[in-house]
Amino acid sequence: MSDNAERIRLFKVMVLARTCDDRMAKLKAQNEVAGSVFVGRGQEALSGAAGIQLRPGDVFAPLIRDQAGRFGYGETPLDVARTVLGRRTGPMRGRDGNVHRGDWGAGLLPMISHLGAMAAPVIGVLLSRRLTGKQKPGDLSVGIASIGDGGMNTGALHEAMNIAAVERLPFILLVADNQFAYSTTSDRTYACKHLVDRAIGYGVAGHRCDGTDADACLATVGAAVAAARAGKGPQLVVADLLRLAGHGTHDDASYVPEDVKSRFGDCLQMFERSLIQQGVLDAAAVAAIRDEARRQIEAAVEQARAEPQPEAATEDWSARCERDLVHVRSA
Amino acid sequence: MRVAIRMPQLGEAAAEATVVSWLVQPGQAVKAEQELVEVQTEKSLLTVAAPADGVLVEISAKPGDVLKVGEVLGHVGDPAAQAAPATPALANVHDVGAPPKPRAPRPNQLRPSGRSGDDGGRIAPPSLMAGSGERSFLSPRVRAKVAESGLKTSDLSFITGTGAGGRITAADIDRYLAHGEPMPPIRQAVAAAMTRSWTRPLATVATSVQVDSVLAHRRTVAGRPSLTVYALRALALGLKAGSPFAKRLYGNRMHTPGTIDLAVAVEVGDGVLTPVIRKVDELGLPELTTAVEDVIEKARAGKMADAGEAVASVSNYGVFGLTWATPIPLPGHSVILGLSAPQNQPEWNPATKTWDRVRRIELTLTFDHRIADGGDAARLINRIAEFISKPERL
Amino acid sequence: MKYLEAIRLALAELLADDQRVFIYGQDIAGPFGGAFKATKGLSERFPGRVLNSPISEDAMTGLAIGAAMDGMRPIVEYQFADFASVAFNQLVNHAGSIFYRTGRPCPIVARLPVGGTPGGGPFHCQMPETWLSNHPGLVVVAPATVADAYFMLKDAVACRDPVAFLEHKYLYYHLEAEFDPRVAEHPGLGRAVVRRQGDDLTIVAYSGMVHHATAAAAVLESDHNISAEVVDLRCVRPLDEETILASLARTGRIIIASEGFPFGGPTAEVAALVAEKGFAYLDAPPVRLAARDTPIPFHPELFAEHHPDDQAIVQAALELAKY
Ligand SMILES: Cc1ncc(C[n+]2csc(CCOP(=O)(O)OP(=O)(O)O)c2C)c(N)n1
Repeated sequence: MSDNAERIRLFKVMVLARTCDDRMAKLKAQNEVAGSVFVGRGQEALSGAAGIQLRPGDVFAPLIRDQAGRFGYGETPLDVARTVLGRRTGPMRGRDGNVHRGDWGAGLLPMISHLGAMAAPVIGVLLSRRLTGKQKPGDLSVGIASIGDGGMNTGALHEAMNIAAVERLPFILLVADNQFAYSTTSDRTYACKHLVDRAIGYGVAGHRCDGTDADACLATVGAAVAAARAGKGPQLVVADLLRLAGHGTHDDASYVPEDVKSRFGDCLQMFERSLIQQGVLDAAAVAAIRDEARRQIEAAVEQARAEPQPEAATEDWSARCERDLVHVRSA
Repeated sequence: MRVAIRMPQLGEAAAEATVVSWLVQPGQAVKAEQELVEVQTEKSLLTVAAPADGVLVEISAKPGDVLKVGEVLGHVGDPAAQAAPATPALANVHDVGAPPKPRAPRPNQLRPSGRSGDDGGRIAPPSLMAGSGERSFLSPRVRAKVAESGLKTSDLSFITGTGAGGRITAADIDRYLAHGEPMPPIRQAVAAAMTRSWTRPLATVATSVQVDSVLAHRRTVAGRPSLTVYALRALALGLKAGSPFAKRLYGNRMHTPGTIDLAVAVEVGDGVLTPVIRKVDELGLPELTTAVEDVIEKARAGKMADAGEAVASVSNYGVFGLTWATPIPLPGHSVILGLSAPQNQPEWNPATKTWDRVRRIELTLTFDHRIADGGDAARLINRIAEFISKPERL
Repeated sequence: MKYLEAIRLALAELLADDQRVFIYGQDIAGPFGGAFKATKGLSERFPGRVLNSPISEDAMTGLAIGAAMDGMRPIVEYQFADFASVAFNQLVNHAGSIFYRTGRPCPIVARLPVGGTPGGGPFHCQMPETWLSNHPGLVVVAPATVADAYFMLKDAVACRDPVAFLEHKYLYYHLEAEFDPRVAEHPGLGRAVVRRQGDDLTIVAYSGMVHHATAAAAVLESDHNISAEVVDLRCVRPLDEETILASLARTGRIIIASEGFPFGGPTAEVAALVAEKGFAYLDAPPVRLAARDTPIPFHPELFAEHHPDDQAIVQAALELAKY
């Protein structure tokens, strides 16, 4: 069992993520958001456990259900609110939205929509670190890329995982097998017994855990990250869990059968219960954590709302950073 | 390859022409630029030249047909192509299903591009040369050059085209521009007007009239009207008295203006201005004198009092001491009345049985023969002479 | 020096001068030195910086993007440009979008052996510039000379935007020219150049087609008294509109020739450019010469007839001059 400080840290991140997701969904319902809002309800334990393992210099490529991991790694509620509301002040300046936010400089990669596409860039960063001699043997900077059971089957993902294995890079592929790829069930998505079996094929270490159990996630992801840091090469972590919401706010997920629902609990509720039962937190402390989360998210939303939107007239419509290619020349 | 023989641009205004006769028969070989067919516009008889070397493979317009500019008169081509008239001109032998060629030498063909989709690259665009039979085609570059150098469309008719099919090229324009300087604008305007006017069938009738009575009469009238004023007034009344020359032609339509409006020619600097005086038939001699003086003064000051449409004008060429001339009516005018200088002449006086000295002028009336005939012109000039000889009736 | 040797020299100097540079691609390391030997000897001289990759074009490109964003100047060698279609997503959706989305440059260089060789067939001869240049954010260059192969590769690495660098396979061994990289002058990466001056018409070309264009211009001059100007685009995205329009303004007639497929692409873009911005210079409609609208055939007889060459350009020029 991880130490209690780490567990409380994870719990706070999970609460903040749940609060944030719910608030963003509400903003969408209030018609304040263009495009979709995606939430990570039910996946906070796995994502958050990964996020809080990371330290500056590491790389994280989150996907659409990684609010907990993003907060764990240091994303601020203000960046979320600004991006979801399309504000010019946000990291994407209204040019990209919702889950596509990130900051290459901070090691939080802004995803493109194409599933599987973000693994190779993480590997590229790790290779770069090696080539420039920036890695400290035995205590390597690591990279984590998130993927779902659906995205696991893209060619891009396979190619990237294979390269990570060939180069023995400190790369962790974090797989949330949430039983559905949008509406498609796992039996139409893959035919191996368990996705962790693919580790053998890639030639990497495989880990499996119950994604609804925060302590299990902390332990498993922690072990995988530690192994990667120690130079044991790529790690495949597959967690079993259930998406406790629709694919996006537009989806009521009515296709999820009751018996599947009954098999998976809510990681946040269960974690809260066990923290209270074990005396790590009392009800008042939990309430305070919730209140603090609400306060932070509300403050971020209020601030973002007051900030300017992008303007087409003043937008810099340039897709290239070299404005004057006619004069680009090597030294 | 079949190249269309198209009705060329026929000068400034004409939009169509009538086929008169073919100078070459189908099946005969022709050379590019050879004259093929005569066509008649409103203004002139023209010939249309062959757009390319070849054989006259088809005549599609027969004598009497009226074709718009750009319409097809017939085709010049290669007689073999007649077998497949529906095939557009193709630049690539593959596209007409030629058999495979020997491996070497490499065939020498244009491979057109810009085709896509399901055609497998088999459809070629029509030959580039399809439009080049039109001598009058001006490329965008030539048009831009014309505009930029301030040339008028009328200039183009003086430029010999050295491009394909006799087209004018940018270099041709440069060569033209290298000669002298542009005609002053007013001369260009006069030139254009006279050229337009000259395309009509004009004829002149003349008579002489004694002017002693007029010269005496003018001393009795306020402002001492000039001979021109008397002539204008006489012309106005003559036209008003049922002359067909009170009408104007618009294309093939006759229009009778509600008033008799006449123009006066005024010599200014580089050219002649022709201000208009309205309702001349309704102005008495004193008012007309004032009106004429007024427009002359304004014209000399560079101002056109009224440049509107008139039906006729008067030219007093007599002020130059001339005894006879045939001025050209302005475009749109049906007649021009000319006055010579007065001359002393002996005239037998049967009453006194003496030769008396009288002063006479020649009147010339040049008219648009499309509007009416010589008899009408004679009646009009006689009436004018009558008025001038009896000025008290004016 | 051969075109290929110029590329190899540029790569060696880039590796020597800039620690951020590394090369990633299939079969490029070791004594083998790449399918076309562009990297021969380099992995020995620069250990650990010329790396063999698995056959994973998409991830190779994604990896380069990550490395570039981490400060490196990666050069990815695709064995044949045809296979870069597998990397389409990373090239256009990822590399091409990063600067606009995030404000950070993504300096990768994608080396793409392009163009046809007899017997190459449908999947080893293609020109990728049309599909690469449609998306915003990428620079697409196609050197046609030995000096350009050398300088433009260095300039491509200096460029902070992702660059698709099209190397013509036929030129690798067949194009040879004397040049001293230490003294030679060269224009900037995005500049088109006039390879041969002329008055009567302009032939715009890029990559291997430039050599067909200059050969055609020589024949036009000697046999037909037609003086053709040859403009080598060098960079097909963005286009150097100024140089193209300036040449057209002199000649009034234009042929745009390419080995690529006929629908869209640089030939269509140049034709659209002259119609939109150079209309008043035109004495005749612009003429596009492109490959046929079929996959590239394997058989040398069919292959030779698939794309335009100097004879096709001469014939098009003769017709165009008469217009
Ligand atoms: C390459 C690609 N194809 C299709 C999509 C559309 N899409 C977005 S999310 C999604 C389902 C993803 O399922 P999974 O990977 O299991 O992740 P989950 O949504 O369950 O978290 C699909 C099909 C996409 N984004 N990328």
